[in-house]
Amino acid sequence: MKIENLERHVKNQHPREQVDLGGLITEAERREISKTKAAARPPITPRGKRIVAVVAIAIALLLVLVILNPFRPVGPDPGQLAPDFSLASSTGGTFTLSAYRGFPILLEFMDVDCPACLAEAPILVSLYDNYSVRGVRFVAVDVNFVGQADTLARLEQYRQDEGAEWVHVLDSNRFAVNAYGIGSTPTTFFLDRNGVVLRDPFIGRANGGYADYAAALEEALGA
Amino acid sequence: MAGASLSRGDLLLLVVVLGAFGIADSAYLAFQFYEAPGKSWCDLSDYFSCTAVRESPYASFAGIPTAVVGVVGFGILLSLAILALRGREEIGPVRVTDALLAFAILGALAGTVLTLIEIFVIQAICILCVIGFALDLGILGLALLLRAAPAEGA
Repeated sequence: MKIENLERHVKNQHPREQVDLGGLITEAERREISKTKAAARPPITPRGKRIVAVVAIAIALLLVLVILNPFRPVGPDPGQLAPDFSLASSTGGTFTLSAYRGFPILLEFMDVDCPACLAEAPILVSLYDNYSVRGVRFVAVDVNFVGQADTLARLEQYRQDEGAEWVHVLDSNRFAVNAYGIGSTPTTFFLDRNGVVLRDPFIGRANGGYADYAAALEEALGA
Repeated sequence: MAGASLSRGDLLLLVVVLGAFGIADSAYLAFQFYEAPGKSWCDLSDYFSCTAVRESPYASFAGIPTAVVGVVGFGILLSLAILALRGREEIGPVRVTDALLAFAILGALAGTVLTLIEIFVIQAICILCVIGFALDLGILGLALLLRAAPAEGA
């Protein structure tokens, strides 16, 4: 056994014993051990330290920039009037958002090929069953972000397959996407009877599922 | 001399730094996975969208978020690099730098698969995930240099 491993060996072999490790090796041997251990460590050069510092600062700046994200899409804030739009409906004709003025609105930006939107659809159907009778209007805007190119025919097929009875429109020229700053699907806004945005939208699936949406709709009905 | 002009210690210190940032990056991704559904984060557009990736079925496998796997993987790489920096040459029968290279290859393979899934299946790129992948590729390159370099201090 190497002398530099003696202390560790004694500690491992007699973990509960009070052994005077200081008496096992002399001060000269201890200094020799320290020197041996230091020599075994690969040296770090001043140039290496400078390069490591530059790399560390560059990565830190990049991460901070991405996390703070000053370039994210910007949509209407709570308290602002929701931008109006007129888009082609899956059932034919054109739908204009302001036609629903006077009713609270759940406005969902979705894509027929988005797995999270598909997962969310049954929750929205339940919400529609419970809240459309209380005057809430539902609007789905297909933003065509992922998968195959979305068409009105595909959108109508999705609407029927999911039992989503509310109006579905196709944002083929990205007018609504840009106006609402949509970066991912589903994104769900809640508007009061005057078309004002009530709260920050749910971006992605809501943490609490039905309960979160229901709470937002109750707020919309009360506003 | 290990790299073009960097010592073995310099290379290991770089691995430590990249590994530490890898842990921070993965830990933030894991935090977002568990704590921030319903909120936007690191979305630049519909294509460069961490939210789109988080909402996909590929954000976790068998209930384990890929970000958590990243924390563990970078943790192993960081630990191996620290061991080597402290002068440890071997863990049992395996050279520390060989273990470092093996785990870096594993991480790079996983990162390649996940990035391809982002591009071709999810059709959205999570920038923080790509940064993690780049950090792992950096560690892989350094691990290759370390393996090619003779031990200096031992």
